[in-house]
Amino acid sequence: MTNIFIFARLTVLEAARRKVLWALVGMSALIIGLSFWGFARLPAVHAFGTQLSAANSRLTTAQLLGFVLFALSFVGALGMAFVAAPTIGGELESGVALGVLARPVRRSEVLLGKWLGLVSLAVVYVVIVAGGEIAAAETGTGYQVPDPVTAIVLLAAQAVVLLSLALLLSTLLSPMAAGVVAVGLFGVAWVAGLVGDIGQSVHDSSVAEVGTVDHLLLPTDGLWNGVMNAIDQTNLVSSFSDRLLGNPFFQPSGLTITYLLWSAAWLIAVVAATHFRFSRADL
Amino acid sequence: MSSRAPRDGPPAADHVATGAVARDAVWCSGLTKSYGHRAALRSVSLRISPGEVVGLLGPNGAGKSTLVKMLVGLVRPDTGEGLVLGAPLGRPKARRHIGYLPELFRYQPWLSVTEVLGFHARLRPVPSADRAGEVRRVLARAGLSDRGPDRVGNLSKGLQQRLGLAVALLGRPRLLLLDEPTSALDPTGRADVRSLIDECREEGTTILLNSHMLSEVERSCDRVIVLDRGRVLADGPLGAWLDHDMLRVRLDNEASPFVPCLARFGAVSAHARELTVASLPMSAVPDAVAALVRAGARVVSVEPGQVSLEEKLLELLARSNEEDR
Repeated sequence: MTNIFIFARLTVLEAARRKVLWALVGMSALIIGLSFWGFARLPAVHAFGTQLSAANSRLTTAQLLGFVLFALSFVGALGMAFVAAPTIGGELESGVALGVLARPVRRSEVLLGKWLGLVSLAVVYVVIVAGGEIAAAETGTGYQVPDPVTAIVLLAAQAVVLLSLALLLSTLLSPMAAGVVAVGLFGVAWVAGLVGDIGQSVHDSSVAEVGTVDHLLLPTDGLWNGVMNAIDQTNLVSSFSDRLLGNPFFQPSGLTITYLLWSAAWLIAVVAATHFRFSRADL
Repeated sequence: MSSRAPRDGPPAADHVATGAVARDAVWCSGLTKSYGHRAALRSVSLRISPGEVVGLLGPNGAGKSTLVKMLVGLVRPDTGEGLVLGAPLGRPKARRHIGYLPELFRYQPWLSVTEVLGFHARLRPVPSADRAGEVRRVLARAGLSDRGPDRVGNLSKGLQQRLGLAVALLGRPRLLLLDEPTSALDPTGRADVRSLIDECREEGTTILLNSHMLSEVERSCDRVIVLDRGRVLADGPLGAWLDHDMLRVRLDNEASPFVPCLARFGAVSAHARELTVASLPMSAVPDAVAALVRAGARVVSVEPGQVSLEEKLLELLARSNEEDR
């Protein structure tokens, strides 16, 4: 157990020394600051010469918050994929792993330690950024996110899913290719989820199936839908649900326990597959 | 220099049962490894006793680094078995008392020298109370005392290799695996490594030295193991290799016509204007020179000497190539 924490600490330290941590903190601070400014100006916005109604203002805030959180989750996904991809593969490629794995440590300890370090970074990033955005929306417009804890937890889970995928890919591909493929799959999953949402809105079951399969193969977009549901106020859903179907920043239903269990099983399977590959790698 | 009798291959299974091999620093039997269609190791068996200093020799691609990596658990054998310090190959327990300097020595470039050593000391594991003292000790031993705060990424290649040596020496390992330990070092650094090997030998550390610097092997090792194309070509005490007297004679004329007149003194080879007689004792040198002069050779110089490790190795590899053809 001690070795796991040694590697977790080393992973966080590497992110700090390589200025990844500070780059994320700086960018997040900038985006949160701009969001505070933007949300504060929203109540004064006029559409076609008239001030927004309270319902429209809430709807705009919810949609804007969803859009900003998506942008931040994309930045986080990009960051996590490119930090996670070289964590194992880069050390194997450069030779740093030769000295480390010659020590009396199990490869599972190295893997779990690095995974834990990356998860810590992802969680801290999401809590600060998503918490900051939710606070900015409430301070600026008075919009209260119905379930901020669920939103933050699911956003963090999405980041953990992606970094775990990047780790697995780094045992199969070069670190650079692993990062590119992980981010590419994240984008593809989002688009496929959107296609599924459109299929649902036009009641085309075969198109809707695309989204279902996508959510099973890579749960990032499925978890994102849970985030969207957690930040939309229930009364908004009932007022605008017909017009918002197919909109990626609106989800009428939350995630089921079955889907959450599936996502957890998916995560465990990916970490286990990474361990299988890593423990059999000849250096 | 102590020397031991040549070994005759892997011990019988009953030795394993009685624990005889468990006392060896290294014992392995029938290790094979292939990468795709290329065989890196072909049924390699060897034993290294505690306190021995063994040189691992062979041409590039012979399988030396693969064998060393296998001993430290970085490469899994396809078949075969082995014990390192009494623990099965690949188990973390087997690595508890091993110090390893890889051929490709790379350490986290964003850490300081002291931080790298502290990290490895935790993994070793060196008790926390002794850690700072142990880091200072190995820094001094590797000649890096004033480099502790420097970032690894800012060190020269030679200094990074010294760091690799310091990492390998952490916690006073019982078995030291050194893969090309002087490849990036200057002459002073190479001399430091030689004295370091001597010190470790005096402390009873078992050392496996994989090096192309044959002078190092000749000076430091008790025994040599030669690998070629994944097989053990030779395994024996260094003394037995180097005890052969030889004679090198340079002539003013073509050497090959004079080969027959020296044949009775030993194996003769001719190259241009030079004759070499292998296994010729010093006492026979005057007679050999006299025979040459009588046959009409114009002798320019006579150099009695011993067969160098390099000559012996090249002869062995050439013979192996011929046998394979």
